[in-house]
Amino acid sequence: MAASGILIAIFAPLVGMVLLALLGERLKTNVRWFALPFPLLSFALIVLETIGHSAGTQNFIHVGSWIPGLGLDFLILIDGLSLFFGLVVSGVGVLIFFYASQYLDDHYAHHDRFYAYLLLFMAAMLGTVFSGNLLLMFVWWELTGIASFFLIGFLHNKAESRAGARMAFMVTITTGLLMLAGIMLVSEVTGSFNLNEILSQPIDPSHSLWVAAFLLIAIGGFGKSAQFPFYFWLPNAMAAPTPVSAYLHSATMVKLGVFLTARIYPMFSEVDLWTPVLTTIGLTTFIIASVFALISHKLKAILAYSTVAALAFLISFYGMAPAAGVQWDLMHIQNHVFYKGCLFMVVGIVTHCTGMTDIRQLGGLRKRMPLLATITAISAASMAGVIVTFGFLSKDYALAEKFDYMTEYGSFMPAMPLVLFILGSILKVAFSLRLFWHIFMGEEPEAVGKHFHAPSFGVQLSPLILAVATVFFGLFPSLLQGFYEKLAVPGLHAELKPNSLYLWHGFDNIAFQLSAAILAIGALLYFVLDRFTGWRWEGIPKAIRLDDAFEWGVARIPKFGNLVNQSVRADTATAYIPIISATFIAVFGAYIVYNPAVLGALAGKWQMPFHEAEVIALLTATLIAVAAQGILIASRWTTQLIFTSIVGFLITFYFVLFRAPDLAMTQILIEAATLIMVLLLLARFPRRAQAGEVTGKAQALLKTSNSVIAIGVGVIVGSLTLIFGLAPSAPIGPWYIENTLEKAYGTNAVNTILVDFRALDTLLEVGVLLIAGLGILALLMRRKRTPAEMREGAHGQGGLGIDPEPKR
Amino acid sequence: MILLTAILVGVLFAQSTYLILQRSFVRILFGIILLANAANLAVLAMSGDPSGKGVPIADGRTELSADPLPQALILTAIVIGFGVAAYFIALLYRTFLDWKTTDAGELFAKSTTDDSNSES
Repeated sequence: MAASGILIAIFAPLVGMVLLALLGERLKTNVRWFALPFPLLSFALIVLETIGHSAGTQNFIHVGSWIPGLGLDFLILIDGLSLFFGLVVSGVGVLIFFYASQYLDDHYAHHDRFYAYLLLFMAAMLGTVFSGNLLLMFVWWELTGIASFFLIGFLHNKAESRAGARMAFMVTITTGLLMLAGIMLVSEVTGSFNLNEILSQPIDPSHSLWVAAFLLIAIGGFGKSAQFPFYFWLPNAMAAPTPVSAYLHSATMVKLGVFLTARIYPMFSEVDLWTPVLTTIGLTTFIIASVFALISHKLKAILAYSTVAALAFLISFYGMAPAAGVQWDLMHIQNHVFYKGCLFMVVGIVTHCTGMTDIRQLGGLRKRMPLLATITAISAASMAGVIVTFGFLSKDYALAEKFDYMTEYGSFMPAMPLVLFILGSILKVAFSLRLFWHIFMGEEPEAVGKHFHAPSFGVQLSPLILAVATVFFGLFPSLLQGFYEKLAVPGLHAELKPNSLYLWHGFDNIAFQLSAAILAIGALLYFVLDRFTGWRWEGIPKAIRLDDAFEWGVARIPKFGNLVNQSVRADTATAYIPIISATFIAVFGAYIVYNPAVLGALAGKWQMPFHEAEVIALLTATLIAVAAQGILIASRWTTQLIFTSIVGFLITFYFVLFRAPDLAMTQILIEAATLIMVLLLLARFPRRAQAGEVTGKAQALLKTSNSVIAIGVGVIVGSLTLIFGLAPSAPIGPWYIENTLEKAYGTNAVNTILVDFRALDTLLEVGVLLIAGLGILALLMRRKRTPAEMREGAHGQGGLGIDPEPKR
Repeated sequence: MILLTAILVGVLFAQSTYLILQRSFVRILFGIILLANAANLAVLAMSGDPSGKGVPIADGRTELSADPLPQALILTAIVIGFGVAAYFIALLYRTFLDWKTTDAGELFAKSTTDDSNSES
């Protein structure tokens, strides 16, 4: 059961994606009811798996080898962490799919694609969390990024959607690649990508490669979880339809950074940099994002920044984990999933019903939407950490942990986390209050009433379930104790004290007192801001918006490419040949000049006074060179052709001197054929064509530069020929001579090489001739163009497609 | 003899490059034919100095034979070079019919401007 259940849970959504993509066109909006069973199935399977899971164990199941050469095994890891995230992904998935089925109406086109992308995303998420092989995890991890790209850009006719999708994609994929580099380093040190093999090895935590691996993987997590300095992509990803924001960008995908931190905790928590890096980045982001959440005006931006803040808290939480292991991390994550998923769905409904996205345009909706107001009140209270909600517990335990860190474990700035956490929590209370108050309380602006239409109960069902869960677990947290004990992961979690998860710790408890003070100060902060500023600023100041800087940088990339292109490109093919030749000279010339040993090794190998037999060779060579020079000097085409042929026929002699009778024969035949063909060609040209060419005087400068390039090429190729001809090598020729009779039943080694030893080469050579012949046929048989067509000009785009201006 | 061949190859390459750099397509054609020949000689030089060697035929002689492999490769190269030259000739012919020019510079000027058909 174990492996197959999880495998079905992962791959069922993928199957669903394919089915929906195929059937979607027919089903139209009914596609939603065909999408819903897939998350339900996955959720049910993972619940079953969780029930059967024995507490505190890790099961690695080797499904098969995917790419053995790379060490990429399909290894499933079932432990508390993967089951927990699996439950979150599939459970929230069920709620989101239902919510989307109510939310997406006829205003949205392509419902089939939407659900197909969502299913793809869900499969990728489940694949990521259940991976026991780091490379496998990376593959799924990047697949979530791809699915996220499609979902953010779903409303692709909007510019902001496209920009948001691109930004999210670039940030997460780039940081993902850095993570891949880190994973490579891990395997460099341990020799494996499989987590069970990695964890079973003793590793020196100060090993420099190990530290680098940690930093690179951490960057991958920071990118995915939108931590400083990558936090800017998440608010821009809010251009996606709300179900996507609620699913990917609050509850699941952005949690991958947190998941990754937990997953690598057993590997890297001993690294000295673990606490400083994670704590510094986490707490910095926590404060920045909390401030941004308070000063943003767009509903989704407020929630996006508060999500960034919550993720930052979770990452710093792992950063400050005591040596014995972390406690209650799953509770904090679960808390965030409950209230943030709920709030996203709520603002989606609010925007849907009123058409407003700016919180300043809203107000007084409690009368029109009492149920939604209640839901929001509960979730916002949970975000702020008011007692009787789950958020209270989370904050209470977090505060207690920060105290423990300060008093017991703190080796890195002991009091700082506590101070920053309190500060961030105060901000959190303020924006939670603002979110609720500005939507549902106060006076209702006129514009709201005009557009308003009431939400259905169905669309409110999913947030309602989450809100009820928030209160339920807020009141009866001890029910979860067993759940967390069961999901403990060896190497990550410390053992929980029995019955240590309960609501009421007493008044004289420092955490409770602080918690109450935070609520009071946060509320005060909100009312002070409300009274004295009236929220009149224009969102987040331009100067500190990193997304603008990012866009600026991205826009520079094509500009830079253009610059490079402009500097090396030419509009005509004739201009390219000198560039290519000059490059050839430069590259090989530099090779010869910088490796004097290449030529030095040849010293003494050539005999300068030619011996007798070579007199003929010298004579032939001289004749060839002179005839070739004749082509250059002669002005008439026919004369040039005769000189070309002389060169060709003289080379026949040269072949003979090199003991190559077969070559000599072929050369004569081919030379004769070429001569006839060129003659045929020249006979077709009118006399004036040549006359025009002769009178055209070349410029002196061009002539000189051409000569320089030509001589340069000659020198280089001559030197290379000398090197190849004299350099010691192990020729394989003798082998052919020895074996030609025995293996190929022929005495002529050249012939047997062609038709026997390397017969495939010859076959392909015939193929080349065939292609050339077909090409010639096509060129010659082409219909002659009429005068009218000639006047029209060339067919197709001119200038080899370089010309950007389309032809008329 | 390798030195001699290397010099010859160098000279031929220089001459063929010069021809290919011309604007006349006919000269470029001759340049390419010449280049193919020069390249064949360059490959041939790899089989080493032929003096004192026999033809690569296994007829029981004891003397050293020339390396048959470069010869086989060149044989292929000659034929392919012929195919390329033939295709180039046909292309030239068609270009001339369509554009009434054998000048590369003029052809590109014609094909990138609108008055491509102003054949006088």
